[in-house]
Amino acid sequence: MLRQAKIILVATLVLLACVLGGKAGLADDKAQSQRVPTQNFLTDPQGYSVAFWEASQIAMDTWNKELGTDFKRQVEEHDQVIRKMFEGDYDCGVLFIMGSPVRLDPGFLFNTFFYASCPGFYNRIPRNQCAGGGGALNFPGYFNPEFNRLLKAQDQIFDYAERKKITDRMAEMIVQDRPVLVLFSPYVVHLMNTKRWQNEKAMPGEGLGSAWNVMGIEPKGDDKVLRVGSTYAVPSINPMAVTRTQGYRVMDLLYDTLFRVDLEGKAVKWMAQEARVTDGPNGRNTAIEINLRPDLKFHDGEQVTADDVLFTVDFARKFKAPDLYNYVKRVVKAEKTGDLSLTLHLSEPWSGVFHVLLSKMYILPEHIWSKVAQEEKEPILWPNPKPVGSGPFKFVSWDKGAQLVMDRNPDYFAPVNPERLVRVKFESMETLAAAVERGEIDLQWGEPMNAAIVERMAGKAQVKAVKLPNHGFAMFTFRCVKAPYNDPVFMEALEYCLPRDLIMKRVYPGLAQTAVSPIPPGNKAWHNPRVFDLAKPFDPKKAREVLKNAGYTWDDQGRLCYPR
Amino acid sequence: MGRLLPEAVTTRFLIARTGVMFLTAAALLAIQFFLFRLMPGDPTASVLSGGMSPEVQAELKRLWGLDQSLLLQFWSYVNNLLRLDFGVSFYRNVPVQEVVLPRFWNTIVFMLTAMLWANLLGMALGVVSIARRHRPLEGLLIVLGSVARATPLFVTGMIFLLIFAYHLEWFPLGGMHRVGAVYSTFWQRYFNLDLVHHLILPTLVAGIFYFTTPFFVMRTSMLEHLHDDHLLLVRAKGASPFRVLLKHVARNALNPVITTTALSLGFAVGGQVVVETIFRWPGLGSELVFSTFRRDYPVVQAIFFLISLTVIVMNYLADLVYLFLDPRLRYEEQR
Repeated sequence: MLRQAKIILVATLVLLACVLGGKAGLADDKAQSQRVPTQNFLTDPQGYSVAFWEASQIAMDTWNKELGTDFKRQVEEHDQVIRKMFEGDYDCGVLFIMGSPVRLDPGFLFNTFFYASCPGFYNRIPRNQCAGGGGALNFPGYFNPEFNRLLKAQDQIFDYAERKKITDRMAEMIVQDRPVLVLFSPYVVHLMNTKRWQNEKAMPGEGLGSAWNVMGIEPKGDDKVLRVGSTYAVPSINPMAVTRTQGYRVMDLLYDTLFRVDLEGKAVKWMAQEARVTDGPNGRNTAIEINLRPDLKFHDGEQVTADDVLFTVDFARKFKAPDLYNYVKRVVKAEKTGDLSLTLHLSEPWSGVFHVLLSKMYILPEHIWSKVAQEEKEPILWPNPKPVGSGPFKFVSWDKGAQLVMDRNPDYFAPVNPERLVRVKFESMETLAAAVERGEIDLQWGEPMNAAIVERMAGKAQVKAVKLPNHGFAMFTFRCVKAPYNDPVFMEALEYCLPRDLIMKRVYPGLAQTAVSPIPPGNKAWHNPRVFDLAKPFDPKKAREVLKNAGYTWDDQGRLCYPR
Repeated sequence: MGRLLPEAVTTRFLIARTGVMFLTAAALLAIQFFLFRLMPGDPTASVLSGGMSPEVQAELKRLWGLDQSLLLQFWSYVNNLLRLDFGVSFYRNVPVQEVVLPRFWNTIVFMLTAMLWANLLGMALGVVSIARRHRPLEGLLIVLGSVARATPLFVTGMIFLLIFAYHLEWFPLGGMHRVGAVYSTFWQRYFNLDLVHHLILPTLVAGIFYFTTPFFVMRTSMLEHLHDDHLLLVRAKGASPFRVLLKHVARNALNPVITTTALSLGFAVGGQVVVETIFRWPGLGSELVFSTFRRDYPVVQAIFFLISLTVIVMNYLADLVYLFLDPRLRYEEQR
């Protein structure tokens, strides 16, 4: 009996121990379940950009090794990367933001990349919980009421110094809040053959591809045909349907705008001889009075008048010109005040109007496009087979996907040096570089030349690599509306553990500038040098300390766990 | 035709074969339309700019018909196709015909030239290798043919480009005409020395690859006919070995060569993506790659349709020619 009781007692104790042990096991499991889960790092395939592939690999390896995180690469085709980012369907990823002229304007840049009217913002409507909307490229879903207040405030200030004070503060906020981690700003490197042309005029972000260079580059001899090569195809020659940087480069030559962004990155009067911001019916600084130059002519000899400008505004609004509509709808009324003068009434003050709208809106000849508006079923899709603009070059021919030929407009009001411009499409950087070396092509446009080729070309007779600061930048973007990126401490640790110098040295040796904010030093007019003091230096020990102080722990395998 | 074939047989065969051709074309049309749309990915992600407001994106989708159901899109695609309207290129904003037609002619000029010399050379070398049977030249030709067939086109292309264009500068680095040349008429564009200068290197590279098929087919076919009984009589009549080989063996061996040539011409319309890319030849192959990456459905569909239609028609014609050339098929049909 006693023996039986002993057995029962032992069995009970064993059972109890198992139960308690099990509970302890469950508790361990629970602790493990708080581990920071695997994070997918979204990138293009290696072949698309070796540089960004390597940059992301270095960062992931460092974070995983030093912080115990588990970042894993998620490779998608480029358009899928963009789609996923649009839809907020990603954890984090790498992106290169090209330096187009319009992005020199800080208001445009901040509005596009970091504005959301409320939390939970997604670009695509079906998933968007934020009714007020936000910037088209706000991939992180960043939302900060104070940032929004400053964004609105800078929009209404026309004084440069006053506006810069505000945009400087906004750049600092992005560096401190870290919805993105800016890595560096690669120089734009374009090759040029100096046999026939000299004194090139380079522009931030665009290198040799800007209209200023095409008009102002000087011939050395009698051959005044400028041959340019690019790996980008010309997408469209309809100035209202153009949406891509490579399309704008061509439109800048065939058509003209009221303002142009100059070599310093500032919007300057161009077709507009005078422009004045005045008060209007919608309040202070809501009316833009413009006087056109009297010597403007379209390529068919017709005079450019205020009617053409009013027609263009109306056309872009009515037919929803893809890249203009967002901005042109802020012009609530356009009225003619004379044959060559007009007033644009804005819904509210908008300091970016010269840069974002008036430097981008190509003036259409009403006598041609009014027929298009009446006769075409879908006027915005009109192929525009023989463009007639008022730009520095006249259209000659377009062999789609191969070459575009334009001749100098002899009636143009500003000097234009080349008599003919030929733009040739190349399939690869290698063949383009070889064509420049042989003198078949005078200079390169578009996508910057890659580092290996630049190195190989060094010392070649008559080949010059023009290296220019850029306002484009490479960045890691984080979907900051969800864990772990919604925790400022985690983001701070990531930055402490980001080897920016190593990445730059490995992927762009000598061909990039350090940058930590979305307004890099290449954007001289708007860059804020104080942001460098706010960025965290590479210090893995400090990164672990920051996490530890905030309650983060590591399991027995060294994997990072959330604070309990 | 009636004299060569019993009329009933010919008509029955023609109706059946033509029916099959149309059915194949219709099936291909449907497959290629849905295949591209079933591919992972959204065409608007690459075509529409992120900077556009959702309102404008929706408007563009409407303009391109991408807001309709797949069946409706297919219906309007077939409808337009019957009127030879291939739609508007999403990327270039021009009618697809304007993109595809010039490139179609560019490819035809390039591939026909390459195929012509490749086939003539291949057949001639096939005859030479048999004429020099069991001698070193035969071995050399077989090795050369095998190496040419096995070497990837991008390797041959890059080597030729490096030597003859980059270092020796005998030929241009690519393209179809010199930079800046403008031709206003079809005649001016395709019949000039500038084009010939640009054509030599790419056709040479493509020809080196393509000559091997007629070479080996001709050789194998001649070997089959080399010991035919009737040759004994021809030789007994005192014909020279050269005449026997050329007139009686080579001529009989031509049938399979002609068939493979006809089929390869069909595929040639698709262009040579690799050679076109290396030599910057603005043909259908390179355009197909470019438009596929940009999900430019109307252009991709038009090119695929053109290629598949040519292959189907060339297959059809090859079948008809074969019927005339090979009497055995006629007996099959009669039975």
